[in-house]
Amino acid sequence: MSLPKRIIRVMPHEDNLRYFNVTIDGPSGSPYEGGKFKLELFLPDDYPMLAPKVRFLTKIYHPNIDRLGRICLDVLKANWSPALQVRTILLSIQALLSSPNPDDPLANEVAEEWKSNEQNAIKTAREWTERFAQ
Amino acid sequence: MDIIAQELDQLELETRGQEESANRALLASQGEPSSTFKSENVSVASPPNSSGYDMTDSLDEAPIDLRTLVYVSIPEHLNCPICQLPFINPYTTICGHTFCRTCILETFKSPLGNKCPLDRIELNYKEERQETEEKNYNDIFPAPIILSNITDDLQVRCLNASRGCKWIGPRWSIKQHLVNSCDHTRFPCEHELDGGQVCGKLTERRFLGDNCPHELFDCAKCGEKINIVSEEHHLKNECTKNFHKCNGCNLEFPEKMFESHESYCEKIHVRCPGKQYGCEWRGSREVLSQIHSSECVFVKLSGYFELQEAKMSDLVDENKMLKSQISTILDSITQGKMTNLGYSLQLEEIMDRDRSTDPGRLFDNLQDKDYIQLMMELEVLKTDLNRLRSLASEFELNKQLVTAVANENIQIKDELHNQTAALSSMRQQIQFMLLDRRRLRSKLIDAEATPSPKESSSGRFTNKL
Repeated sequence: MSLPKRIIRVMPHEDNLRYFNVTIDGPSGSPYEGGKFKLELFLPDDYPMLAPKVRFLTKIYHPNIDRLGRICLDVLKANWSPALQVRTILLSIQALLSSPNPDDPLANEVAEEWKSNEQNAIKTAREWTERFAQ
Repeated sequence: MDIIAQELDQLELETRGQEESANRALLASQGEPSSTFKSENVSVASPPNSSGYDMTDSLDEAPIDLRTLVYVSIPEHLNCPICQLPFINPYTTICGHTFCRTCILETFKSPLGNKCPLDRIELNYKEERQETEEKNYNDIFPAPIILSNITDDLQVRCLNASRGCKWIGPRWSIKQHLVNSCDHTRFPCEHELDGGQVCGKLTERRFLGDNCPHELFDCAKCGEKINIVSEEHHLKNECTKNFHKCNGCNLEFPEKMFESHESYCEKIHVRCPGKQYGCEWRGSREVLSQIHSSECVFVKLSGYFELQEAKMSDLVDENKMLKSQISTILDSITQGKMTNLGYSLQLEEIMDRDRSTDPGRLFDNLQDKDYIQLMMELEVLKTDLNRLRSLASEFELNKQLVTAVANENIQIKDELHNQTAALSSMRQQIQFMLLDRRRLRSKLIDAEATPSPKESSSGRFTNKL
């Protein structure tokens, strides 16, 4: 049995141990498959009482991620719990890539497109993945 | 599920180490300022790696930060879900989860508020309880004592490990070790200087003696000013005249250069790099590089061995992850629930299935949507039932009709029998009459010999028949 493919990489920053460079592989079966998405993750002073701050650095076409890379995810905001960890948060973000939720949008235009013409939106997401996330 | 499990494994492998090291670094950095400040007071010549435990206050109150301890091994189940370290003063919630006291109380002040961080159940808690209030008002209480005992028994390393202390012992005894026996704990030096002042420099216990360990004297080798505290460091890293003879090339080098010399001396005796796989050979580095390494079977095989070892350790890691996952799943099953905190995918709750077989609790977790659907199904069933009822009554009517017809049939059959009987009696009568006629005829033939006038009438009779 071979080891599973590496899917999420986390490296602490040399100068600041609260700052992490993260790479998430686009989940298979999603329009982000084959892409490598860079994120930055920062643990605030009050971590784990406050959620880590996470932002996409790679451009991505997704209804819950805006063009500044900010992520609309409940566990990063109101539903944060100190028992969650960097590991669980990054898994949630990867799951968000697998199942976009246009009914709770952050990027309104993307969400509109997703609702009115899903085929086209998925096509655009795939194109963006090829263009920006390689 | 499989994919998620795999991902989890992988991620765990990758992030765990980093997260832990980061945690430790953070914790260490929080405790850092005071210790660096103190080390500035100490003489410049003191060894550089001096982070450890210092006794500056009275013996009774020596605060030890248990969170900076390094554990020999940590059973995962004894880790607080919040700080990810073995429990310190564990408290348990009414929902059955356990946290360090400080961790859960800190959580209550965070945006999450008075909720369990694992299942978000509301917890009642008041920091200052009034005497008049009900006793069991709080939803968190000290965990069973056995848990504290187990965590207190975990093996830890001495806080002075970086100063050279090799002590390993149970967590409950660390304070006693640091205060009473560890040679590397630093105390303020109490010796009086020439001017009548107290020296006050922080000094490890092993240097404290009758004389002030900070009194300077000349190094026996190079003549530089040193003291007892800095002697070891000086001889090893600074002194230029502390010569040491190399066993290989018989040349003398200062101690501080010896390590680098050892790494390149061609004559020094070394062991074969294949010794971990069983090669017994030892000899000078020269011979090794020129002759032995090209001959040794173990060296040739070492590449293969390393590959196997890497694979093996991968598998061991994987096995460990899987085991821990299984135990987590078993735990959640025994607790009767699967918490899927942090995962957007819904895990199916096993208990729900059991519940659905119990009619009394069937409606416990119905939502409006389910209710409406059920009502609609009920309506459909009702109309079906009505239709069936009308069909049944129709069927009853048909049945009556059929029995009536059958009765009639029997009557007709009887009548038919009567008719047949009448018919057969008539046939007998006719046969009797025919016989009678033949007899008459034969009489007539007898009489024909003597012709008679009756012949014409009998001929008419035959014609009629």
